[in-house]
Amino acid sequence: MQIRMAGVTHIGRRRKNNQDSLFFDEGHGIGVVADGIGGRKGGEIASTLVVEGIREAFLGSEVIRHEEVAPFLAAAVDTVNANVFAFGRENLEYAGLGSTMECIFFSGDMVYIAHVGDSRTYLYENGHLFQLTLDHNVENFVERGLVQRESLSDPSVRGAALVKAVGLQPRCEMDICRIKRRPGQVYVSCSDGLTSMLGDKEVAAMLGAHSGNLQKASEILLDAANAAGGRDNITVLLARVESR
Amino acid sequence: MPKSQLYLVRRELETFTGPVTADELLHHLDRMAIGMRDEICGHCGPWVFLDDREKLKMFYPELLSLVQSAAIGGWSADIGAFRNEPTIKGIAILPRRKADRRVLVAAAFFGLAIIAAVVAWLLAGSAELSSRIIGSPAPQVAEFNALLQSGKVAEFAVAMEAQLPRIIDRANRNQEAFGVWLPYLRTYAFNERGVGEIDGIQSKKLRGEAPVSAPADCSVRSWVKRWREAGPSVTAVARGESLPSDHWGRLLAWDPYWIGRRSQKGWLHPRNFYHGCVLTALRALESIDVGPDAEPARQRLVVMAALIQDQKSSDKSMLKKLRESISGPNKRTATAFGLWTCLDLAQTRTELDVCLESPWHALMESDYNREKFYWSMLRLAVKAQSAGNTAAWPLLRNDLQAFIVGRDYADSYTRLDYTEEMQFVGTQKGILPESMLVPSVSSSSALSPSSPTGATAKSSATDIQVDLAH
Repeated sequence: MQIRMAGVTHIGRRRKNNQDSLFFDEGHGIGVVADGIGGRKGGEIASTLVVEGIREAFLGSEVIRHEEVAPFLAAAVDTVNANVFAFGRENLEYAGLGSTMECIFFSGDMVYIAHVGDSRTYLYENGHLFQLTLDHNVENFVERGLVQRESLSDPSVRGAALVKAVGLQPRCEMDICRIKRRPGQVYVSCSDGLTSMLGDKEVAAMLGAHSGNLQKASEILLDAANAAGGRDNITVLLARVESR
Repeated sequence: MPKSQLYLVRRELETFTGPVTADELLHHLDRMAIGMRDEICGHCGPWVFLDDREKLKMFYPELLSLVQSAAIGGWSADIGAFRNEPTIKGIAILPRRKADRRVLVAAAFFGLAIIAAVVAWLLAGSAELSSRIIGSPAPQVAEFNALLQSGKVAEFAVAMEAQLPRIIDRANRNQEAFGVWLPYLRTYAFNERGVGEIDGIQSKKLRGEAPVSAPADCSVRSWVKRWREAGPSVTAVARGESLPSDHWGRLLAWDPYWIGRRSQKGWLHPRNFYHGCVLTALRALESIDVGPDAEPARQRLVVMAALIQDQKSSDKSMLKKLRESISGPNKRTATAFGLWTCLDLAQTRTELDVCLESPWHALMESDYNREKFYWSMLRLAVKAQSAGNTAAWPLLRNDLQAFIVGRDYADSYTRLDYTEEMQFVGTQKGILPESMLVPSVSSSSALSPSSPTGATAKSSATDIQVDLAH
């Protein structure tokens, strides 16, 4: 099976800079989307550190056996987290910087996704769209009993506020999930600039119409998010599993 | 719009099944490949736990009766989620399962009626007993801690088992409670009768920060599968013919002292995830019949478990007995596992040299076995330095120095990282090249996690504290 990838990142219509970062490499079957947080410049730096750190970890590694993928991802994210955290500590003007991260990696017959924050990864298969990742926000964590609302220091904190991000704490907990890959599947990793503007059904409809041309599909999604307001930076990464 | 509805099933935010049709979902439920605590998601829909009746009804009403009937039919333990159903007459039974379902529903009713009658009788007849059933005290950490402190490990397992649903419920309420109960849940999962996993506790949380060199899944279930798949390969490894990349092969080569030196926050017994993996691998091997060829591997695991445990015990009799039972000249097994055990049991350079003799001399031609020999030498160097035994140094000095120059500080096969040990012995000025010395390192507590050679510190978890004093 072969992997095809395409992606775009765009400043959107409201922001003054693009704090999203994107990297993908078809040959290695690796893609990363990061959405920076923490001030105008800090977010940009954080998402760049995340994407570059993961890229270096993968491209600098030898062949990773399938049973080693999850530990490898964990170690790579740990390293990246430490770098971003240290950067915030050493440069007070950027204190509080951090980033979300979606890292998708194709290994053997499996697809691995490392996820931190509220960027998302979806699976599009047989006309169905499924959100694979859980947004790491207050609302979800309270609902799942992982955080008590009363335990939040600021009771006015919004439900969409992030609970986890790369670089905010000395340690970064992440979700690592895996799913069997099959020909015809399309994986969509994106920043919340896309999902806050478009509903899942709109995304599914556009993928249904254009998944044969990934580059075009990613541009159409981007254009649609901008047409809907483009309130945030928008990044879309599409990866399709082909039979050969 | 999709032609026919498909669903994706998610387990513990880690693995997915599907997309599947409703029929396939039922099939998976019947085979118990999917559980009621798994989540389901339809096209563009939210994730819903299968036992969350209200949300299932709200988002996927077409699945409600199907999941409900499967719950009653095959998941008796999970019926509780649906026990408040006003009537089961409304259950839509799929045609092909009609006869089975009627019998099962009737049986379920009958069973519930008997239980209700017994409970009613107890409530009426014995106030003392009923108070024990209804008002049994909440599980207390101190109670379980006391059992472990007094070495009553079997009693601990029994007590945990009795209270497990309530403990899981408490632990899952919030992060603080989870942190309190986690060491006990880990002890229960990996110790004594533990199977390396607990229903209702996410496996990755039970595992913690996954050490890079260990398998992500160390449940007995996984080890059984690994041992079965290993088959004759175990014998080939024992003969020194190959080193497989599989987890079972690397685990057998693990250094018990390396594991024992690393304590991990949130663990009681076993000491850390590596130790837990050894115990579950042993338990799995003993639970299946893979023939006499697996006996050397089993013996190896027994020794490893004992050595890891023994390092922190004041009672060294176990180590003594092991040495007597295994390392006598007539009892040496000519396998790679026997050689590794010989290296692990050696306490002096002289004893280490014995491992170069019959019956292992041929095995020592392997690059890896020679490497393992040097890691054992490093262990003796750490021991000598910890004890202030500088007299032992001249024996170790030259060979060790020749081995470490220009190499990574990680075992090439197991990937256990010896950076901390190298830095520790490196503080003995003059023993190692100046370029390898770490400035101002004077004790294990001040060790830097970074490698002086740039080698990746793969032991990953920053909360692994190396205790070189033992």
